[in-house]
Amino acid sequence: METSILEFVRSLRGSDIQVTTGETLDALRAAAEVPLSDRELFREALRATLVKRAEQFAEFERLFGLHFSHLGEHGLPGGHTPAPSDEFRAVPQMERLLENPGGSFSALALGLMGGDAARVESLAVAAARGVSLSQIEFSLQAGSYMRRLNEHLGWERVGEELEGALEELHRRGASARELEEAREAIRQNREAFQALLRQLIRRELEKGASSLGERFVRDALAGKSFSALSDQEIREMREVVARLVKRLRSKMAVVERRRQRGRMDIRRTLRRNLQHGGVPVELVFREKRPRKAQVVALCDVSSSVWNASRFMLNLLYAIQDQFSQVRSFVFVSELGEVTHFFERYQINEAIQKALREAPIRYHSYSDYGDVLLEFHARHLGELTTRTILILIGDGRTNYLPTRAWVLQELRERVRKLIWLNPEPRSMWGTGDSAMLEYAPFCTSVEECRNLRQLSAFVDRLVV
Amino acid sequence: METPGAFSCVEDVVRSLAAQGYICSRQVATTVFLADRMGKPILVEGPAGVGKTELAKALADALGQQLIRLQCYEGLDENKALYEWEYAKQLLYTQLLKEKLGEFLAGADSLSEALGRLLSQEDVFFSEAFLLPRPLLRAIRSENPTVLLVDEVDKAEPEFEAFLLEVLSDFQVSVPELGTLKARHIPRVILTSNNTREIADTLRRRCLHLFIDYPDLEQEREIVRARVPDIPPRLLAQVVGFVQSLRRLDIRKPPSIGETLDWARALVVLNSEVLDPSLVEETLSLILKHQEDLQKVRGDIHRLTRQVAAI
Repeated sequence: METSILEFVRSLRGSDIQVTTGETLDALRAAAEVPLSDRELFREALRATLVKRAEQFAEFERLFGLHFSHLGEHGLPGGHTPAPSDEFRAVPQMERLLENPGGSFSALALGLMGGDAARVESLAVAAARGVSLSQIEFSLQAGSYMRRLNEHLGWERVGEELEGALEELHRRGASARELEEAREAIRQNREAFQALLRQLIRRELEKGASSLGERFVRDALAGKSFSALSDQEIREMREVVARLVKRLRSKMAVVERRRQRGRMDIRRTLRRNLQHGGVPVELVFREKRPRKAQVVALCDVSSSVWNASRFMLNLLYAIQDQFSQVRSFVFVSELGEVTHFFERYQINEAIQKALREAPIRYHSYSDYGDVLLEFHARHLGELTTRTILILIGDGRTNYLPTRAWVLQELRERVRKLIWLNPEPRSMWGTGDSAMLEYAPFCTSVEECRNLRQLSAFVDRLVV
Repeated sequence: METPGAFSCVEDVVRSLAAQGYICSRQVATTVFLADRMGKPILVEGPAGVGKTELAKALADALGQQLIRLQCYEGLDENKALYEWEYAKQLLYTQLLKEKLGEFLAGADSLSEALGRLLSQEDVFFSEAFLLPRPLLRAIRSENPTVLLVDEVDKAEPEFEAFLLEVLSDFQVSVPELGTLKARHIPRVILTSNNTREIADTLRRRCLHLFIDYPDLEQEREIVRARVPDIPPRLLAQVVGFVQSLRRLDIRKPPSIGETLDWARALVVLNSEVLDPSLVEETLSLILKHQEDLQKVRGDIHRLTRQVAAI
């Protein structure tokens, strides 16, 4: 039992479910507390001790099914279903021989002669443990493990023993027909046994390696480029973003509190408490100044970066209340302010509106030069040294004038100018990308192609 | 010091909790049983209103122990969870004892001698008399075994979690002025979380994990039957069926068990025998608390009522 639980834990770890040694010990203890005959309780005992996140339940169920429902479970009477047992045939002609074997036969040979499914299965499982079949990782190793299993079982010798048994049968005067039937039954049993071994190997492979592929997909999602996401993935991403936002908020809340906590103001405490005869009844704390940074964000929403913009807007929305003011603009070939959408609507609706209803033409070509100029003309006066200006876009100008000097003038007015580019760094400056031209005027330029980079950026921005 | 084994088997847990009017699945009972045997805290997660807090109450009642509740909220810190010195009381006593102090210090020749005398008496003001125990310390110092409910642990900050972890692993608290206070009994601990924030893995690892979901049809019927015994059987089936189908809709706040119970009670007070659309319309606000949800469901009332009308 212990071994099976340990192997199960190994599989969980293989599927990216972190299990500590302490938890494994808990699982062993818990399993000892429930009656083994009750499958449901046993599963619950393992789950409560090993898997502590709702999103891992499905994987737990899958692996639990693989480990504890068929072969390979040792001493779990409830769910024991000897799968291929019906393939083993009893050999009637051998019965007399078995009563008095008259030679020494190995346990396996005896099992095959008697068609005793339970017995040969337990031998197979024992052999699997003997060669550490659970260590198997790739399907390419199946052949080599098959060989090891057969060696461990002494398969060749078993074959000879079975031949010997047939001869013995002949010696004892079995008819040719009886002999032929016995030979056929033995042949079938031997094949069934080899099939059983192959099945064991397959199951082990499923336990461990099958999760490799899934893990790959999951890892990939956080690292996948926004532009390559399918609709389904976008839906999944939305949840990831929601969780990210939650995490950010809690982090920001901590920062905020630390900021507000302040130190005790001794001077003012003493003065305030003069009325109590100098006994400090009321404590006065020095208040820290609230952070006054303002964020102004310009987000490209042209079709080439549409997917990325959506996630950026999501996070812009989320950080609104962390700064004294956040103004958001979207642009394609002209500039439209969407701050009021953000202030008035729920997150999803606000983003929908920002992506569809701002007073701009959504289906034209991005014109960075014109947009910068427009921003410069209308909003330059509102920029101060407390402003963090964030530009989000791929910097692809459609070969229109870049007007990088505007960016330089903007840069001189603000505290920071950050450019987030959803294109890979290697693409910057190729074709109509004016990124290299704009970059020198930015405080920092960051590649922001996927969720991981985006969240890293927001972390840095607020903390 | 440990008091394991209050229950003989999982079925015993189911029975004991049911006797307190708490109907739970075997899954829940198994975890409670194991936690009891292994002396481990339980971390309960699940949507709002499935009876996470109720579980702790029912457990305390079933064991005949006191329930000590620590409600977490943003800004909760050690002082409010563990203990505080009663500053005002200390001040008051200093004032009252002023003269006595004067006498006590009278013979002192120098300031440093006076201070020395004062320091030797320091522990008068930092004794248990001036200690204000908060839930955690109360659970630890209680004369009788208790059930400690740390409710909505996700509302407190991550730092508080770390602190909680420390207390939960040692069940002792060190108060600098008094020394270490050890637990007289290890309390049974239940933590609940609504998952508004990720709970740190370290805390998860320390606990047995229990996920309570909305109950299925059969179970919810049993719950309502247990809590609202005078509900007509047909109405019971319809109410539960209706709520269950509401939970399948895409709404902001699906009705909790508590809301099902409120609704059932209200319908009993109204002397209703069966659900009909106008009755649902009038009482819908008992189970749906968001304006958006109400609007969304209003258009669907006829269809939903028809579905359960056959019951």
